Amino acid sequence: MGSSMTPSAQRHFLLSAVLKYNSVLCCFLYPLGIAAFICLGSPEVNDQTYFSDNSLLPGMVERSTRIAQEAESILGTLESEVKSHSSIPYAWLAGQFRQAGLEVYRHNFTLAYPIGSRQLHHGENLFAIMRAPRASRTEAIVISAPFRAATSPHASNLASIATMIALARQFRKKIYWSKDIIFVVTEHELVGLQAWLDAYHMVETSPGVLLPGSLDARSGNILAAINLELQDKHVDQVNVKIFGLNGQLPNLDLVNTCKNLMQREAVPYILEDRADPVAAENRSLEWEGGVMNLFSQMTKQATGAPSAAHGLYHRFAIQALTLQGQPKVRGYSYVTLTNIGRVIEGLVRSVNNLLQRFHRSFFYYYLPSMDRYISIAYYMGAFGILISPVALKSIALLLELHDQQPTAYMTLLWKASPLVLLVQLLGAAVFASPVQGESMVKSVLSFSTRDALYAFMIGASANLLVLPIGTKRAIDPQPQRLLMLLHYLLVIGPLAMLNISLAVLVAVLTVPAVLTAGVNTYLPLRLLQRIVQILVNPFVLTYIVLFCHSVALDRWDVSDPKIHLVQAFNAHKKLLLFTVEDWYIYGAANFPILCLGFLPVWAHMWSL
Amino acid sequence: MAAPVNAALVLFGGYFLRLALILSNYSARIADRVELSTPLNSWKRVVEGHFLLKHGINPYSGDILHEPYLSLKFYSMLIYLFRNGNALKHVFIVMDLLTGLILYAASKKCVQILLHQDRSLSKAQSSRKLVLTIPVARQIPLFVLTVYCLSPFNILSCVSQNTSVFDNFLHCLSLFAMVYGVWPLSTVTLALLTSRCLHTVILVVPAMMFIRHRTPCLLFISAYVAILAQLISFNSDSHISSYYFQLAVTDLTPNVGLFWYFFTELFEHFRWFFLCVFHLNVLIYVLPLSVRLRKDPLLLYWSLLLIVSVFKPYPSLADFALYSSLLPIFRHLFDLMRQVVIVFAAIAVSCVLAPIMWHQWLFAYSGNANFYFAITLVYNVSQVFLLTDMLVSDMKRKFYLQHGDPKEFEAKKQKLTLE
Repeated sequence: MGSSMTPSAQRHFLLSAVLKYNSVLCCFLYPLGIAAFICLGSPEVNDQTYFSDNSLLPGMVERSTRIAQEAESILGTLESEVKSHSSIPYAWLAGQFRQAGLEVYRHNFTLAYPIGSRQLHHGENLFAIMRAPRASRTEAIVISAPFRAATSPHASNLASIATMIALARQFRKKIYWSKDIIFVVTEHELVGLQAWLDAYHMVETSPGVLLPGSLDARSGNILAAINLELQDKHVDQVNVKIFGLNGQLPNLDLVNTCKNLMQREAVPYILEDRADPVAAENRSLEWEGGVMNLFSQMTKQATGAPSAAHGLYHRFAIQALTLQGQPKVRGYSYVTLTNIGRVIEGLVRSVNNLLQRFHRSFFYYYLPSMDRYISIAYYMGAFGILISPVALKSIALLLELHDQQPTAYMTLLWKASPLVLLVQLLGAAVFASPVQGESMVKSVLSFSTRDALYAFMIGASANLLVLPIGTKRAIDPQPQRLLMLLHYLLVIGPLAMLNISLAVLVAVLTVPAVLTAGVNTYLPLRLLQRIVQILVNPFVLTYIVLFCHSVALDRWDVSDPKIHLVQAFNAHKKLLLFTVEDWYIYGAANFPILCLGFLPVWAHMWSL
Repeated sequence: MAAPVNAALVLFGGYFLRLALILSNYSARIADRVELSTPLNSWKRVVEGHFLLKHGINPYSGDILHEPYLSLKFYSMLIYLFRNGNALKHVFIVMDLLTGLILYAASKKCVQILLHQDRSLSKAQSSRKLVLTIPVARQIPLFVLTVYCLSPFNILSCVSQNTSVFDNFLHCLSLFAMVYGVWPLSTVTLALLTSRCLHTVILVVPAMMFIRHRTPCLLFISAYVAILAQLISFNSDSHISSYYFQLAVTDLTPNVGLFWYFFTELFEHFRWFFLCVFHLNVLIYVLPLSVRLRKDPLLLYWSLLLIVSVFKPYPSLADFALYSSLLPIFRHLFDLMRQVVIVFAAIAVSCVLAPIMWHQWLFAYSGNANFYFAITLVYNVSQVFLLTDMLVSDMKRKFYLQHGDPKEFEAKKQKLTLE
């Protein structure tokens, strides 16, 4: 490495090559990176899934329950019970669980809505613990289901609760449980579960916003959780959901176990709304299906939002997934709750077999189909290729700068660095002030919370647009461009560890803009440069994505673009509100990533 | 001149940033970061110790407090005096900014020393370009102050209210005393520092080199030993929990250092052997470096500061913050340095990745200890790179000053090669 700065005559040939051909390499490597991701979808490249922890033994666990009849009759009673309640029918549910021989507890929580008038919402969960007959109460497995009233916009979830009760009765009769089983019915969707998890672990994820209260009883360490969303007693297919908060995934062994059991019980399944590609003679078809699944998973994971309530468990180191039973998909064949119940039974028994926490297997993967996975070792390589143009360009710029100013290049870089701090501070200011900003806007204009927050965020980040006017004179373009590239790498590189999909999508969309920023060209090209930079602004980019989404939902019919523009605008406002909300309530990382990562880098690029 | 105005602005900016962060909701989260608060310097532990002391319980009987007794008494006094509201937070900020000011004053003298050194070294014709000029040198103290007040590392370590703020104060005071030749002050400060962190004992070497004359040197060392002995023997209860604790490394909570990972992985019967090896690392470089840098105690002081920060068992980012604030003093070396961009890029990456890896390992459970250790390794290796780069460029510069730069050699039809 000592040779990296020697005069050009003694330089290592690789560095000379980088200096000479970096632009060509950039043009070559960026498409290569995208191509690498497409290749990863091919079964030739990715691997067959397998069990790392053999103690799970999904093929050895006996599944003996037959709960269809019982569950259906419970469901009938539950449905009539719910008609006379606006919230969980606590007394009835508690009675059911107690009759089955479980301990039943209630859990109160309060949500002080973080933005605007800080309205208070109360909620109450119900949970029942089945103590393990064969071991001390040091480990537990959770089966949870969100309760949805008839007024809820989501599909009913009563079948899950009925299944839970029926399973509890059956499980109680068995003597082989070595882990406690906790049945949880939560209110208010994610909020209720977050409050329950906080209270269980005696932490506060969002102090002052979500007040979790306390639990009257708890069990031990939770090893795994299964979240149920069975929409009817007859299920056509099960949608397995795995994406958690910030794109975190459950251990692959748990997903494998689930898949294995569903195959054994002949339950049709899909993964995150998409069916497995058919393994046909035609390998390219399978490849295409794999790539489409990969792309769909990336877009879902990149949002950082949990795809169902199971996503909140992941942060507490609990491996969890959601089984969403979808009725009337195909309309001719269905499985009953017996099969679903047996899948759950098998899963719980497999986890019951575990001798230690899930720690082998993979936590970082993509699943182009349920049978094949792409390990982190492969996709990180592809990601490396994708962002390598930026790294190469910065090396080349550094060498160039050193060649031009051998005695002063450090001073130049030193003088260029305050801008990094400045944009980072501006980002931090935006990050720290959405609540205050929203109330400020509200005091002037009569906006709703959503609109006020939107107006504040857009206004605050529009300030960055005028940054170049103030800094233009103080900026030495070449070292600044080098710093900008390093700044970009500093954001996108670590992001790959946190949420690889977000990093990949952002890299695909922004690498060309970042590479061309600050290049001195003719006026028309410079104009184009500026337009591209505007397009990759985080707010503009998300708006464009939402617009495309809206158009795509309408089968690419753009005869009346105004509707889509308005629709996308409203969706954009909602997206921003959710991003801020999720940060305050669940600690979702997208808002800090936006304010402390993307916005500063964009401002840095814009000020060149 | 505009320099005092600028200095005041920088101080004000530093005060404002620290105050804004320390009063915000984030201060508790920052204080809980292991990168900033180690068992040796965490303020939480001090508060606990103070509470125990107040209630007549021996604060060293548990495994909470590892500060020496005198320091604990001092903090108790502080807590008692500034018990109202946020007064204590202001004390930390003022202390930190005061440190910056002392550093500012010290760097003024440092620059003079460097100018003097250059004049005596510069012999070759082409060395004129390399010599430190007065207008450049004049800006340096302000740079030092700016970095100290506005560097995120300093701000964060002040906001986390760890006791390294006082360590840094003592360090800067001892540097101040050394460069101005006030050896009694440097004896006291160094003895105090050593009584808090044993590894800083090696800083005695540059302090003695600053004195140069034999009699004061002997006085210095005997006074140092006497005061240190006095300080250490003050309360025997604290010996196990502050000195044995530092030497035997009994707390393996992760931090940015190298010890914790290694000693969690180690077989127990190798423990004492490797403890010696690890502690030897601090001492082993003292002799060669002081021989090589016998005429340049300032660089020696800086190098040893860095070595302590890398090889002590419970380092925190405050140590990095301190010596990185001294970097502008060596501005004359920057243009000869080769790896400084790489080093700072690596440190920036490790600062962003450390909390992420920490989260993946301990909260999300999707990673393991290797994830976090990899980052601390990057951090420490880049520090070592910084040191070697600095030393090599210093050697090079001294050579060029005496014999001329490569271009001059070319003109003389000679060639420079590194054998």
